[in-house]
Amino acid sequence: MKKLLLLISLSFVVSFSIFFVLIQIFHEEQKNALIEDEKKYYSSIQKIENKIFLVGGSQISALNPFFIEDFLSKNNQEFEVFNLSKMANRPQREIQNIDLLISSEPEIVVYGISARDFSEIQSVNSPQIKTQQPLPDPSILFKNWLKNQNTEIPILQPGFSPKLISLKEIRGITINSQDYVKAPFFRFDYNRDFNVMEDDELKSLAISETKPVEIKHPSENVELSALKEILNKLDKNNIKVILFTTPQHKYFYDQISQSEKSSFKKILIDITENSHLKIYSLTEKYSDLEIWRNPTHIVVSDSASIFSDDIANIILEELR
Amino acid sequence: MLFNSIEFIIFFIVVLIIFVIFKNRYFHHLFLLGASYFFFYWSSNYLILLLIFSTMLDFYVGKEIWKSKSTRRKKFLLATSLVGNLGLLGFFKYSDFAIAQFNIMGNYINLVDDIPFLNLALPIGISFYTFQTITYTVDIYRGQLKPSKSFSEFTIFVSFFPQIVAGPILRAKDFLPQLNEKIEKLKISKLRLITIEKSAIRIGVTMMALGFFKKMFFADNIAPMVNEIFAMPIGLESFTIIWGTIGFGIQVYGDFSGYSDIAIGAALILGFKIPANFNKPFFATSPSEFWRRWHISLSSWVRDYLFLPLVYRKIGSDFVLISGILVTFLILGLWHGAGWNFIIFGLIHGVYVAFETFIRKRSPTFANNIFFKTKIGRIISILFTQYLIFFAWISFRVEDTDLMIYSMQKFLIWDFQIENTIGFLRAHKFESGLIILFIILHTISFRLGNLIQRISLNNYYLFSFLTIILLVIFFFYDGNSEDFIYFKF
Repeated sequence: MKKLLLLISLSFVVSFSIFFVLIQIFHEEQKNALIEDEKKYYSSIQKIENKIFLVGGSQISALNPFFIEDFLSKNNQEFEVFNLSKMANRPQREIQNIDLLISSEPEIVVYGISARDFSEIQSVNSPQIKTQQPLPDPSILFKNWLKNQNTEIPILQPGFSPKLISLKEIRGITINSQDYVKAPFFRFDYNRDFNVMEDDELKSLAISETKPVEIKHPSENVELSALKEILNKLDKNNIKVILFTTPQHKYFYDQISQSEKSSFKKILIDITENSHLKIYSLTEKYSDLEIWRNPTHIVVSDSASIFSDDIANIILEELR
Repeated sequence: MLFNSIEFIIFFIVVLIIFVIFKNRYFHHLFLLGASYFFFYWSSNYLILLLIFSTMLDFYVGKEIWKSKSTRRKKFLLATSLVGNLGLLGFFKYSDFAIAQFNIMGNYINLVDDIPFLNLALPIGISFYTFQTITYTVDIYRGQLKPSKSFSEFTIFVSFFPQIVAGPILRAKDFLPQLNEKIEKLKISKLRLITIEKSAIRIGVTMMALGFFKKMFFADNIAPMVNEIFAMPIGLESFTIIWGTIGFGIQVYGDFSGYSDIAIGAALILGFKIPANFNKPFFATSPSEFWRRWHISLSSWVRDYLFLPLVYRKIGSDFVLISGILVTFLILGLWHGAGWNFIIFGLIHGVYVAFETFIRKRSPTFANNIFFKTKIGRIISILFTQYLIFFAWISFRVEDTDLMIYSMQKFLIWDFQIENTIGFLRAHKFESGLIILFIILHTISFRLGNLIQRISLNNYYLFSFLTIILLVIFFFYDGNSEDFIYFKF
């Protein structure tokens, strides 16, 4: 029996050691490759003058830089606009590249934020049943305990997915979208992102996919601290910042709890008090228009140009 | 609690350690019961009440049936158990489907208001544990089983954690005796001490590793390609649809047989034998053989508790036999989910098996032709059977009727266009490679026979196998574990 247990333990130790070493190497390589790609991109646009950067998560991907440029140009403002949004780009992630962004010397940074940028990270596969548990839920206790184990080792951090790294290693890292040169960091899904979703599907998706999230108080919200640091750095480098809240479909907005809404409100108040910036609210502006690819993302299409036009208008207003 | 999650691994190791440390048979049984309920509560929360209800109902009804002398009373008690269990299953799983059909009919006859949907959460494992408890009362009614002596034993049978969520569906007459052991000298039967045997660990660990490998490496990685094809199949070429269908068949097999392997392996380590649920179904030479190799615990359940009672009085009649097969498969399809696509899935298989049965009965010379026993005959039978089986998978995967009909047409009537298919395969080299790798490994495993025993009995094989499989599992572990498909049923 001892020999067998030793054999099983040994195979575990050997495979885990190999995995541990390789995954760290792959992780570092991929992180560096991404940074290298970003560095290359920023240096390639370094010499361009009068730049406006659109920054934030996937909700910003629907903004069309060409539309905004045209709009501004028609109003005698000559700028070159770049959509630098990234998938799941929360302030804590954005801050890692902020020096790079600043080194490219943009005139204006337009930053889109949403309530969920400041929430605790949720599992995408939590069963729907979790939303309405009347009895104590041990799985949440366990996840919270795991999350609170502060560690520097990447594989032990919440949300770390070896699978994602392995698949990237197998498939290669493809971050550039050739067809959309002014949005270099966002990977568009040609089947999903460019098509408007039917109303029925939007509704059922909003009901089934909207899970409650926890937004911590401003004093202990790490994403908020990261955002404040970003705003501070941009301010010190004389880069104008325009903040706005990203749009949401009404089906999604209706599913969000009052406590989440009020927590986000506290975050917005905190930002305004600290940075003295006006925050433009687009949260409910297009909530019933037929321009949605899913309940939280506007479609990447000419039919949704109203979003880009409004951002252009906001920029114009700030320039006056 | 998903098997492919850190929570389960920690839970299982803790359970094993406790069994090894505290060697008391009464404690073992109580602890197994507590662990099973904790496992179920982890995923189900308050819906554990349904499990408790089903357990209590069948324990007491079973006892009453056994005690009762009157056939009429026995029948009444059996009906109570069936209504209780199937009522629970029907209410939670099929009420919204029934409401939708009622509303559609109401629109035809101009009823003004639609009945609102109940939007009930589907209790995890309900399709499995209700079928399991039904076997208990039916077997007692038939006189094939004595009722369980203690409530705790019966509760362990219903809630046994390795298999409660998605089977294999256990039968009380196979499982309950495993909770006891006969002490010959004293001529008594006592609760069995749960001991962890060396041979059980060898096979159990090998099976669990294989299950994780099937689920995390094959099923979860093929799924995105399959989803891409069937989210909008309109406009796709025949060969893309066929490739997607093959991918889906392998995905479901990897997912469900992977789950079954983990369940059987975990149970085996604890010293319990759970019957096999899959036996190389992709090498079946006929539709009926497919069902003797695929989800064996369910297909044998519907045979023994549905089909045979339906036809046993007039087994000689072609009409009774064929309609019995069709009804059985219709219910088997509906068991998988509340949707017309599952009914169609069941009916397609019903037609296959009914046709095969009819041919075997009417033309035994054709069915037993020596050609089908030859190697080439067997290969042709396998390919033809699998073509039919994979065709049926389309209805399982595609809910929307228009998309389903389009996909089925393309699967049956080839357009011989390959331009876009080649482009699609180029864009999905990894997933396509996995499909090919699966076919190769599956064929090797079929030809070698009992691969698990071969690996587990040799230390070098076992070490190499575990190291490689664990490495793959680590690399393909997702921070957010993917659900098993059969959890929905």
